[in-house]
Amino acid sequence: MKNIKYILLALISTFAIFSIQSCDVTDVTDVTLQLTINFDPLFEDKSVPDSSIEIVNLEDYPEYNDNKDDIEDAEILHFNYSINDIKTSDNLPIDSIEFDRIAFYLIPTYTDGGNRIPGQRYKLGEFTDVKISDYYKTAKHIIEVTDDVGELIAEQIKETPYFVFVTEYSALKGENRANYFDYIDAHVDMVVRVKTTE
Amino acid sequence: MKIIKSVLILTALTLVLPSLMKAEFNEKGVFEISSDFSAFNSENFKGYTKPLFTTIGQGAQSNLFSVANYNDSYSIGLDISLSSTIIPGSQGTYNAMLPAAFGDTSIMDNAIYKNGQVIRNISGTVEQPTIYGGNSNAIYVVSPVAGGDPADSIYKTIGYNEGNNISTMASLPAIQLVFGLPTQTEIRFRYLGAPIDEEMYNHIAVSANQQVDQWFDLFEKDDNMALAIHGSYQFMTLAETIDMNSWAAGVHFSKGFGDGLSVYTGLQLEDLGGTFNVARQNGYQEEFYVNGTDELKPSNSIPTELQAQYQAHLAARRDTENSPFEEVRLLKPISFDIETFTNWRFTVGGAYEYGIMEFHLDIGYASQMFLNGGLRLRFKEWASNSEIEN
Repeated sequence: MKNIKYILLALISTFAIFSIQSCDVTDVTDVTLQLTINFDPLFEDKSVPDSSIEIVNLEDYPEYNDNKDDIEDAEILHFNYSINDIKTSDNLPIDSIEFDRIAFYLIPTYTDGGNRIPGQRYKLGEFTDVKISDYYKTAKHIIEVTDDVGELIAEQIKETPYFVFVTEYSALKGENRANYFDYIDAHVDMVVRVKTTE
Repeated sequence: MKIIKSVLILTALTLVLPSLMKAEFNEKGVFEISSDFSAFNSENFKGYTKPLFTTIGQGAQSNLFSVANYNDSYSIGLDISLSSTIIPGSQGTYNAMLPAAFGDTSIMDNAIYKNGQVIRNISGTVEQPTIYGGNSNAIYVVSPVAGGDPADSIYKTIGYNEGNNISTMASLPAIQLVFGLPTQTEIRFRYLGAPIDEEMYNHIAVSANQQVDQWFDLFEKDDNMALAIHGSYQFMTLAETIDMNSWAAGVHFSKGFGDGLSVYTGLQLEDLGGTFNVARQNGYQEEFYVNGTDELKPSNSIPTELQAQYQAHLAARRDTENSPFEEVRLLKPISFDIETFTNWRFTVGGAYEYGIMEFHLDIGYASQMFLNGGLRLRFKEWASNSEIEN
């Protein structure tokens, strides 16, 4: 009989702890989306090394507009970089275009007296020894953004829908290259985790 | 996401206070969601929420019995219980359906980034988190592969909703009226009603327990043991959006030890089914399309009284025209048959009776393990011709 009492006591204690630790409906109804944003950074009529700057307006995305007042947290997770089209001034074939490096940066901006001031440049990641033919319309070149940089966007998104993305191209590999591009039409898909609260 | 949150609340109705609900029903009594719900088609929403429906079903079919020894007298009482479930890891993911062309490398190139690995050109289904799971994995898409402008393609990078990393979940609080009959039968009723917008959510349950060992002289009276069978039927409705029913049948056994202490165990077969149906705002109407196809009728062929709805539908479609899921592009309703993971459960527990009160607590093994505990009050008990004093 004593044993049964102990068992019941143990069960009651377990139940109490278990109930206290159980999630309630507010946990079930939290919503965390992975928002996919895409943009086409255009590098046009200039020589490398140089950069293209893309200002993405998140208000172009209905998911952002519908929830911007309720965003609790946001984080860049990763992004994919690909080339849609490319043309050098000397019409190099795609197979022979190779960069030492393509790097990607995020620049947060701050409001000061109504003016938007660019802040420090944070590196999101880079590819090295880039053969453009490998990057032509392919989904495989994915960069995972480190937590500290990825979380920057949380503050950014709360403050402004504008998102500044820089693509930095190195000089071309090889000698006697013109290094001048009529255009580099790139494509970036970025996955942003967005958590909302009400 | 407000709308998604509302729909999740809708599916968790048995767990929530009505005041949390921000529902809008159309004139047909169907809950209506706006176009920001475009991450889900019906199949994927079904997979995402299946563990939640399992919790609801298990909660509904918990606390049907405790001690199997039913008095041969009339009685009336009340039973109040709460339960919590443990969500197994296997219910943290489901196989999400991919758009039809995914994996066809003549149309598109895709890659999923998962656990630091890039996996190319997936097709069919892909593992994604359920509402109880963790992080989801977006699928990067570049299309078309053979020339053209990717902006023209519907095959673009897609994301999935994440889960909420839930491992334990409080389930349905059950308040039951309990009636005893001289046939050593017990009948239980429970009702939960909640006004949602201008509609009413109803959950009605009836269950019966019948002691049977005395029919076969299975036990001596001094053994203080009892065997009973039980059954339950419940239904839950909300306008034209939720129509669920659940049943359970099983057998349970108990042994008393004097001083009001008993232990009990039971085996139960159960199921939860029904339909879930929500409409997308300014959604699909057959009258707007040619013979059930995805071809829109011209505006001049739409009757005047439907013109406003037709134009609103066209405008809403612009927000979803890039979805790779046809159901989402056409703004068809999210509709599916409700399913649960649980069919069998094994229960073991203990009860302590003191006066008119019986405390009972049990643990159950099913697809989601659970703990259930409560208090039963027997207000009045009387034999066929005299009152029994407690």
